[in-house]
Amino acid sequence: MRATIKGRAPRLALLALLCASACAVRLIAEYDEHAVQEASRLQKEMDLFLTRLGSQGGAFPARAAFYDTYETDVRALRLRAEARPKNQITAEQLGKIEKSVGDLREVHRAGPVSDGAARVNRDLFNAMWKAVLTLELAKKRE
Amino acid sequence: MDVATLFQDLLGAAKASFAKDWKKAKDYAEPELRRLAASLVDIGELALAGKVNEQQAKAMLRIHRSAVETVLLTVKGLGILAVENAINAALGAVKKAVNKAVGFALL
Repeated sequence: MRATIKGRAPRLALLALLCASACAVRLIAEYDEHAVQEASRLQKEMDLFLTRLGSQGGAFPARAAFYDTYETDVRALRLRAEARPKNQITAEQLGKIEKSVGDLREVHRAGPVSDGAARVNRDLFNAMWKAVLTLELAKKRE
Repeated sequence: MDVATLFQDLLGAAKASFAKDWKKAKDYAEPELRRLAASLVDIGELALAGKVNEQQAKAMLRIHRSAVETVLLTVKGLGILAVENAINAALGAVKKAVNKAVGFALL
């Protein structure tokens, strides 16, 4: 019995390889065009908000609504990412951006945001969105 | 079609694919992490100059930490994609060898 199985092992291994080679292996989610469009829009929106905040100023109460809307949009994108198979990394990234919106709200609530502080925050949000976009675009597998 | 040849085909294809894809991750990560290091220095300087208060500096450090983690998650994702490409390249090499051995497009 053992000898029979042993004798068949190379053929079974070859069969497994043939089966595996019939379709491409996917270890990470498929590319999502909607996610790229939405991430690009949100990147631009935050960049504009922080650029204006740095150059024109603006007390927190007058700008508070921005944070609620923006946080909701990021959360919606995260939930979409979570719903897609093998997409945990992107979902985790969007969770960190969502948390950062809360941190930025705290920066603003704690006092006036100087031009320098707005610039640093803008750079940080741009780095986060670029990270999301870089990974999503790599999922095109070109 | 022998095991040694197939193994060499698999290994060669996987190595070539992984090296090419890892370079992509490295090319992305290095400038991003350099920029994030500069941002950390900027936060310190803003705090020293009194242009952000303590509460603001602490919240900005949390955003900075999230940014670093987000960049590293992309590096992790690009690494997984590199492994995926290497596996598919290796399987592609086997497909080529099998088709050649049987004399027609079996796979």
